[in-house]
Amino acid sequence: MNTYRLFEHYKMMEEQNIVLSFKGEISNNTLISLAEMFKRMFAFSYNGQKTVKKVFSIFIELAQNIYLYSAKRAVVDNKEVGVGIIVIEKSNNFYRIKSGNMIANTVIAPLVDKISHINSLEKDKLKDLYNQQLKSPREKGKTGGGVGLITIVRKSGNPLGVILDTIDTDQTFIELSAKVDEEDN
Amino acid sequence: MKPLKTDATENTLRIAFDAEKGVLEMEGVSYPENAMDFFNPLDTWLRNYISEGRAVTLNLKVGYLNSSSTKCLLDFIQTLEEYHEKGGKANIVWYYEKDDEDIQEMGEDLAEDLTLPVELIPY
Repeated sequence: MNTYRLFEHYKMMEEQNIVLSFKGEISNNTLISLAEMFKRMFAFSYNGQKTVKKVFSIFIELAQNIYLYSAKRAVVDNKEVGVGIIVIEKSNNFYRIKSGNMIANTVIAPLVDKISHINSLEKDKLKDLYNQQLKSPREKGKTGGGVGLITIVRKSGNPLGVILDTIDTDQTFIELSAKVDEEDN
Repeated sequence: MKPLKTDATENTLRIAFDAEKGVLEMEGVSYPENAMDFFNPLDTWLRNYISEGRAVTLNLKVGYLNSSSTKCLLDFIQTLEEYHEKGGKANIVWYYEKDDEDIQEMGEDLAEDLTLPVELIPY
């Protein structure tokens, strides 16, 4: 019997101030549609609105993380893409962007170490690491720039949150969350 | 040589090349799902073009780049920098919106890092 009630979902989103959410395959078209929805929702147009631009940037980086790194894969338009969930929470004085997807247990330890390191750095050191990563050659077979997580923490101005829910001996659900404080502008 | 021209899409740049003036323009925003698919052909084109020893000006007017596009653009610029270091004629004109600190900072960092001339123009 189906016990899922949409009302529960609605209530949860209402309580958590979720203003935008998507769960599914992140293809290039999905990425464009999500960006369009974001732009309309926040009347955003790449210029001005410093805080919203930061939120946009983090939103795109997290969506791209799902596309690249989610362990749950799907094929859309003959291309392999990742499956995950991404939400934006908007409160009075901050935004929080969260993404979630499956990852292989074997990659958790290096990833968590990397995030702890990024979170521990002062603003200037973080910029140095960012520039260093941008200039270093790509790891073979990797299509991402390797600078996504650093970009997220630089834009956010807050440590990147990580919550892990172990599924089984192979996989874990990882939640990443980045908070952006509203600036006076 | 084949003319280089790509219309902008929602998440990729407009690219246009004026062969007479040697001016390559890149304008818009970039956050495709795979930035390398977009930038690799451009890099191939550039290497081909500079192998003929011609002068090139890169006009950049970007509004937003995601991290992998940023990396790809810097790799592209690096090709230009190496050309300049070997005596090739190359320069960059970097446009930024007046209150866009991110894009301004990126241009300033380039101007500091590169030996090829980088002109910063607010608009």
